[in-house]
Amino acid sequence: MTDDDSAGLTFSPAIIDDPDAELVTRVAQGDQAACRELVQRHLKSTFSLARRMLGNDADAEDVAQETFLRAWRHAPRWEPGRARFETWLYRVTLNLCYDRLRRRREVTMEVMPEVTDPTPSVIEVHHRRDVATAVQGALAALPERQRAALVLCHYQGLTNIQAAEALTVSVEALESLLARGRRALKAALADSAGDLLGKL
Amino acid sequence: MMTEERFRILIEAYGAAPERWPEAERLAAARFAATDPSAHAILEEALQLDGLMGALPTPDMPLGLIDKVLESAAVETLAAAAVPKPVPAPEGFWRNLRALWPLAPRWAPMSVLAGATALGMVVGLNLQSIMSPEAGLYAANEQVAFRFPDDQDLANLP
Repeated sequence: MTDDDSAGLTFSPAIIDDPDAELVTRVAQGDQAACRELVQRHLKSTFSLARRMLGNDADAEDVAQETFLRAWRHAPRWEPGRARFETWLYRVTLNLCYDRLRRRREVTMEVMPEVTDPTPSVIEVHHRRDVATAVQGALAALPERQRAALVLCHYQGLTNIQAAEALTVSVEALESLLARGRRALKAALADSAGDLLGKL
Repeated sequence: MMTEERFRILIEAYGAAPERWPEAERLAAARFAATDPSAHAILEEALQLDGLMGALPTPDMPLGLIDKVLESAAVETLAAAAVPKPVPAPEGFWRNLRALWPLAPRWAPMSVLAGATALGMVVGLNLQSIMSPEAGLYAANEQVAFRFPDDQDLANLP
């Protein structure tokens, strides 16, 4: 177990209404129907977050599995009312993504000393799928926390408060991460923005 | 009250779609967008990036992922649930003790309990002499009998 597993313990001490609290209690008792319900509620969003952070299915699948493995192991020690279980899941997912991105950077630096252009084919794209590839490439080139903030708020639909909790920052800091992320994304896509928009 | 500065910060962070704006400020921001002449240019700038970001589709979950996660649930949660829980008696004792003095920290009833025990022992040991003065006298005589003689004792010798 790592610090990720106790991530929820650092939330605000205020009692939080958590729609998953009862399910997590049942999971701790070995209730397989509760496990299934929890998976149905959260696996897709967990996988999507990891996929958008990491950019490929295989890594995102591993992260989603690892996140839920930690959830099963953590369930007996879960303290209802201290944090939303969903936010805890997002936080564990993000931390696992950060670990993988860090390892990936180390490998990339060993094998490929040159920094590659994250959006090499932006000029040539002609279809909607290619626009998505360009955006994914620009997103992947953002600093991790700016990318996480954008993914949580723009794609995962979290409120600013939930996203700030998942990132363990204040709402003001979240807004700063979002604004810097959007500016960097816009700059990365600036040259071809007109072309790309015309293809949507 | 929504200002142009705050509106710009909101749009630069959350984009042009009102559903992504913070709930607490959504109404004020929407009013500002509808009435302030500066709002249009700010929104227009953000709309372009929103359009590009919207091209990224929702990822499809790989086939079999749900089954893999549920398999791990069966292994982990059933094993954890099978482990016997710690004996609850001590916790019940502390809860009962705490119920006597619910607003104080845990050490307070413990201190009272320890103090009462000590007082009981002191009273118990002295009870014999209180209830029976003769017994106390015998005890005093025993002490005298076993103490070493001092100068006064020696002076009184014939």
